[in-house]
Amino acid sequence: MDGLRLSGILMTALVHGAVVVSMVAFSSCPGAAEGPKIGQMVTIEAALAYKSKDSKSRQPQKPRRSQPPAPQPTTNPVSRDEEQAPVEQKPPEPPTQRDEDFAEQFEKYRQMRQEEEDESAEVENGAGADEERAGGAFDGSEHGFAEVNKGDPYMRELAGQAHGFWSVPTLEQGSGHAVGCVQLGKDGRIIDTQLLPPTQNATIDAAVKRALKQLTDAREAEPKPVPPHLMEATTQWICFKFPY
Amino acid sequence: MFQVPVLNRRRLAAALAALTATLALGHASARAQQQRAVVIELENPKRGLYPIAVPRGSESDPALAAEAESIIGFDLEVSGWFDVLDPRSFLADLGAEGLGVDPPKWKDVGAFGVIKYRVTRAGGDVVLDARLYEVEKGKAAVLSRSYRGKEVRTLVHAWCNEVVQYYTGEPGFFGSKIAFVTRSSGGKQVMAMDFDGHGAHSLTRNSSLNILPDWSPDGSKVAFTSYMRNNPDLYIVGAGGGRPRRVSKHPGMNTGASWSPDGSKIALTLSKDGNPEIYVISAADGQILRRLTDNRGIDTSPVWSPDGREIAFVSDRHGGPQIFVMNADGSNQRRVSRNGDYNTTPVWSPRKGKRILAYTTRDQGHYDIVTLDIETGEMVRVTQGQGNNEEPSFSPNGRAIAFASTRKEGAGIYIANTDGSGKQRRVYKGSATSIDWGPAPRP
Repeated sequence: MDGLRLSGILMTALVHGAVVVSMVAFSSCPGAAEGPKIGQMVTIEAALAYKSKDSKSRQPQKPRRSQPPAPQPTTNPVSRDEEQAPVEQKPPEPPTQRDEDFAEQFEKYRQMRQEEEDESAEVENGAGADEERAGGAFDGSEHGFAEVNKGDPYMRELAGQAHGFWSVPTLEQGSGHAVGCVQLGKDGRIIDTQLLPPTQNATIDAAVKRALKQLTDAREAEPKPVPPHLMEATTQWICFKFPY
Repeated sequence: MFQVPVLNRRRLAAALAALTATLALGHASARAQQQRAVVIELENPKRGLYPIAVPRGSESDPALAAEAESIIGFDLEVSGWFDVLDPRSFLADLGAEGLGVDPPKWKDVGAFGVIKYRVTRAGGDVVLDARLYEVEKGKAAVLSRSYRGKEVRTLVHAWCNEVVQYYTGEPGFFGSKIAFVTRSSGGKQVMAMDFDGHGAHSLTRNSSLNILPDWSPDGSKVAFTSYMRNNPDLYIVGAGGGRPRRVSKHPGMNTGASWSPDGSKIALTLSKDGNPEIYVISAADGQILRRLTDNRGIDTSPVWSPDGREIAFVSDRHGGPQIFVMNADGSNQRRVSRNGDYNTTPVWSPRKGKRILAYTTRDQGHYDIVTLDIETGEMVRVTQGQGNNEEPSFSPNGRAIAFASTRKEGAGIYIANTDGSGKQRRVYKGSATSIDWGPAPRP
């Protein structure tokens, strides 16, 4: 029994030690303080772009609406006894601290509703209003409303274009994926592209560059302005994971 | 006691170059990583051809350069891997480039690869200097070869085989030969030609029926059946023609010869006892070594597997003709074709690690070529809706199939990709049967 207990203690110590060492190692990793890497980026599938389930990379969510206050039971119900003497009404007491809190919360709630209504009107007047209603935002932002976000049509179309231009030469026998990224301008044109990182396979690298160039040319020929609710996408790289 | 590391100038330059490259790559990578990004995963990529530019060689004999350009273009396109770009789109100054390349100019026209060459005459010979560039890798050639010989065609085929080997790791089939049978006045002749249809010539010169040719594994001989002595006997003739040698003359059929992979034996159909059965004979003297089949059905068209362990053949023992496979000693005979009621002329793919047969099948009154993976049962239809297509034969690397066709574009011998993709090309115009694609040319 002593031996069993000792081995249990040792195992526990080992596990704790491993956890501590891992945490220290990862926190001191040179890349930890940098921006997101491929593995940490929000990942959406194919052209349909399902929202990632990774809670760490979720976008800020809309706060839940406060529930209206439930009706309070009356303290002086109406009696059906005709002989009962009427209860004297007490004069109203000065407002307590609790009531003040409630009033303040109600005012906040009213302001939030007003902001939401203003925002909603802005979206309806904007270019992306219809798209937003149809599918929700691709990145799980506050404009998404579906339980499983199917992706914004604007981004779906962009992904579809990239997929249409992606072709792997038949003679390429290997398998894997390459990552090519674009930066969108507000007018929908592509203002920059890059391979991240190069695969060192000249055929695949050339194929990715060809796809990005064709995508750039297509967007140049027919630019599609980024809808207002996706303006954030113009400040970040949009990367395509090209399989081969 | 201690060794001091010595950095000579070349090593120092190399080290600095490596450091610079590392820093540059690191900077570019960090630039993207320090910004937020969204990744969209794409699925199911399309498969396409490798775009390659083959500009006509400058500093060359004009006639030879034009011929070389034509042969390179045909070889690469028929390989099923390359898309040879239209020269009219080229932006580069070919005269200034010479045998080199200016990569951005070729990137702009969509080329992934560029072939440059110079072909000249020297004495009585032709000299070919050729370079292959991968545009993504810059100005340095990834493949460089020089050839000297009598025919530009032979040199160019050798170069294209090197190009295919570079990209795929597999040998090309350019320069290989195809044997076939054509009608002649009063009979049929065994013919041979380059795989691209060039230089067709007759291997037999008699007025009888000469049919069913089969190349020896080394490509030096062709076995065939001839009625020249009023019985379908088996003969062997040199690849260049000449007087054939009769090796099997049993009464009745001596037909459908197939060389064993080591060239020492021949499997064929003999009907000396009445019913056609499959035998193995010595290629040297025709002596019967073993009888492989023995049943009431007709057993014909034996063909040895690339590893020599199995033989595929046709039998009507279950009714209509179907494809069967047996061990090389005749044991374990089993039917492998399950489609339709008429399947004939099997051939094995030479691809290593695969057990794939191609054969002729009849479907809705037409004959077509299919392939069957014996391991998985997967079938691929190589031809469909293009007249009758029969008697397939694999290229030496198994990537292409030659077959006889009578389609509206014209009868002849066509070459198709084994997977059924891409364009099918006619390499011989005119009626042709008994197609047999020979081995790869010796380097």
